[in-house]
Amino acid sequence: MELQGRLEGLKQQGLAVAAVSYDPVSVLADFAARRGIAFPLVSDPGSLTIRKYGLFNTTVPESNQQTYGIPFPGTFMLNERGVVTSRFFEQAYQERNTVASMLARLGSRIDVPATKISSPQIEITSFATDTTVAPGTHFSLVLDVRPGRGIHVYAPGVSGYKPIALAVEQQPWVVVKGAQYPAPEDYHFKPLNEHVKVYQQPFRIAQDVALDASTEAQAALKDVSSLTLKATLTYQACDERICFSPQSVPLTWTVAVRQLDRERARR
Amino acid sequence: MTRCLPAVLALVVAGAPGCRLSAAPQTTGASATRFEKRVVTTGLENPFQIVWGPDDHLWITERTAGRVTRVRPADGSKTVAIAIGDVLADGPGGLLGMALDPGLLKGTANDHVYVAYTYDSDADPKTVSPRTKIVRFTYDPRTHTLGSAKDILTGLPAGSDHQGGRLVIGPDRKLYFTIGDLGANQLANFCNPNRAQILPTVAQVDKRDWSLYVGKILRLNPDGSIPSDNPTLGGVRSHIYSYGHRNPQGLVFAPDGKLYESEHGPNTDDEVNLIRAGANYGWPHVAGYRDDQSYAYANWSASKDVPCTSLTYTAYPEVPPSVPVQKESAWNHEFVPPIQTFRTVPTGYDFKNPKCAERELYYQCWPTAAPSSLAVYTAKNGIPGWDHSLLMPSLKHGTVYRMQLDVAGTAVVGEPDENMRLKTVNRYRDVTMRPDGLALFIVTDVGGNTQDASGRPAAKVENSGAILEFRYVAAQQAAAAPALPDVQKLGPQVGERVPDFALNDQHGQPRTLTSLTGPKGLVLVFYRSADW
Repeated sequence: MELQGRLEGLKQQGLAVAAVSYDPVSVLADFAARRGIAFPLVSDPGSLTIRKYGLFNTTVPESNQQTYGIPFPGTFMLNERGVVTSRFFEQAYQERNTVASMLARLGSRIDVPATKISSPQIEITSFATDTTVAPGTHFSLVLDVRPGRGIHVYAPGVSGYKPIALAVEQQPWVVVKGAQYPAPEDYHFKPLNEHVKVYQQPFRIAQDVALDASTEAQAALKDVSSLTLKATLTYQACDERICFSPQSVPLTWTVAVRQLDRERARR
Repeated sequence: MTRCLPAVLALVVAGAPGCRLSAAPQTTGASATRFEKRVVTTGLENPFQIVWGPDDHLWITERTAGRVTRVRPADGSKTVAIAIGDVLADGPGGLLGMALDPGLLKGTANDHVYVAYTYDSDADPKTVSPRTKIVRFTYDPRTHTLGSAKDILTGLPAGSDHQGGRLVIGPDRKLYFTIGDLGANQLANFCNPNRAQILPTVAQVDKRDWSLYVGKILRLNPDGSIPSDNPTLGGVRSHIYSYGHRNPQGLVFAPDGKLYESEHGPNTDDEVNLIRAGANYGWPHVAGYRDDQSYAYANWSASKDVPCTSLTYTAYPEVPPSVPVQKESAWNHEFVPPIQTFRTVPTGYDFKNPKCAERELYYQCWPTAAPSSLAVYTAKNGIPGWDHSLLMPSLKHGTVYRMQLDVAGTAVVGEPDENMRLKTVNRYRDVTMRPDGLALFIVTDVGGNTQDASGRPAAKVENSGAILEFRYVAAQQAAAAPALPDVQKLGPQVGERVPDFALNDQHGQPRTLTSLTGPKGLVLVFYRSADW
């Protein structure tokens, strides 16, 4: 499980990890032993806690003995007092947010290989939150952008200038989801008495993508060992005096593809 | 030749000739295949051809604007590769078919793009003599533009109707080009004799007189010369590869080298043909099959005693007595029947369906589909059940018909699928696929008559001059999605405190929320099961 691999990093941030399912203790013991899981897997037989959290999956009929009692899967980030600071739930039940992707969206540093790109007026550090993905994996393509001294770039929604935009090329089996841009700051351009939304400080763009979890996708990806995602970052940078011509930066990320694990517990 | 009537009609014609048996059961529930529609772009001026290029852009010819435009599928952004100066956009003419050289962007100095368009062939600015030509351009990948025009073949027929105009490159690297019968023997051109059966003489070919290339499919060398292995017809080798065509607007090679064509029929019998070298496809003596059903060749220009020019044109079967009418069976020349028709109907069929009485748009209700193009669908991991099919866009029905080919590729299995999920109120002009086959891209006319959701004529199109994307939606997702509540609203929200609990962990140790939480907090995961 990916969570296990992130345990140490999370611990350094003072965060513990626990996972809830309706499985009996024996199944959890077997699973934890097989996978080397060191964090608590708690057993909620009868799904009482799952119900108490309002996550009981009401669309599964009671006649379906295997799946009745499952939750809508998702993750809560809680502070030390048990208050939700953020939450990650997927509409498609086959999809899972990776921990790294969740952390990236929260602004954390992720220990993955990154590429530094020097582009006119800005410096870009680019990485994918996960180096290995499977059908259903929901991860992020991250750009940490550092504008040069005295430079600003325009935030999404700005007109009259070219706002910064990351466009991911469509490709089979890759679902391009929403992108997260931080809140911009107001820039007052005195000569024109113009107020415009910009970024002047280092900021992060987190573009969410997922690998299609359909059976067709799983079949098609069976013999695929890696995928290269392509995107273009477009922006326009200005300083106090001049605006530079709009730029277009091609970007790529390559991720390894693995199959879904279907091994069940021994009984 | 036996023929297979559509199931509904077979009931009407008792004792219809032995129906071709399907080689395999028809794909069930094919029409239920789900797609997600997206308007990629609009504002194209009568797009005629759409091709998926090696640069992962959609290459479009804009017929009336005379432009080749590249469109990025993700966001619909357009780049004009060239606006051709001498395109004559009259009637059905303008910038028509386009074929990308297989060597395009392969670094082999073959960055060529071939297009066909109509132009004014005489120098006098006061008169217009429309002709068609095939021109080769060279693509500059640095500037994304086409230039260095080189005429490949000029002086080809053009007119005010039935232009054909589809251009493809074969696996033999020859160019294949369709030319229609220019609408001879009907409507405004009803006194022009139809010459789809007439072949050129040696003298005409030597003089480069291509006027008899009407109603033909041509095959030419990339430099425009006549291939030495072209068929000899009536003792003459010319550019002609096959003949007896009406208005062939669809032409496509399958990966196995078979050449398929679609052409508009008169008021019945649009055809899908498997094209063979030197073969005759029967027009105007035969429409569809040689079955004497709902069509006979009324030759208006041969009107006896009454000159044609004094007559008023009417569609078959309403023909004045002076016009000679020849039954299909009375013509005994060898010909190749279609592999599919849209549709063959029995004699006596009512061509005045009250559904189309308003504005007298009866043709909109005729058994024809108005096939504007043809594509081959081959994608092993594409839309389930679609591999090895023909896709035929329809102007009148705003859909793409799918025909399943048999293993040999010589017959259509079962009935064509009308693909209700691809249907919109538009005139579909051409279709192409993303290389993985999981998205179709369709270009639409800027206007014209089509069909509304009730099957009645619609005067206004929904997406004018557009590229529509239909992305395949896997059935599993489609079935699961509607039943799910909005998961974002379920459970404790940001800022709320979560309920405590007391549960055992994998070691049987009792755990509470408090005991699980670290100094800064807890990542609490709810998941389906560790068991499956």
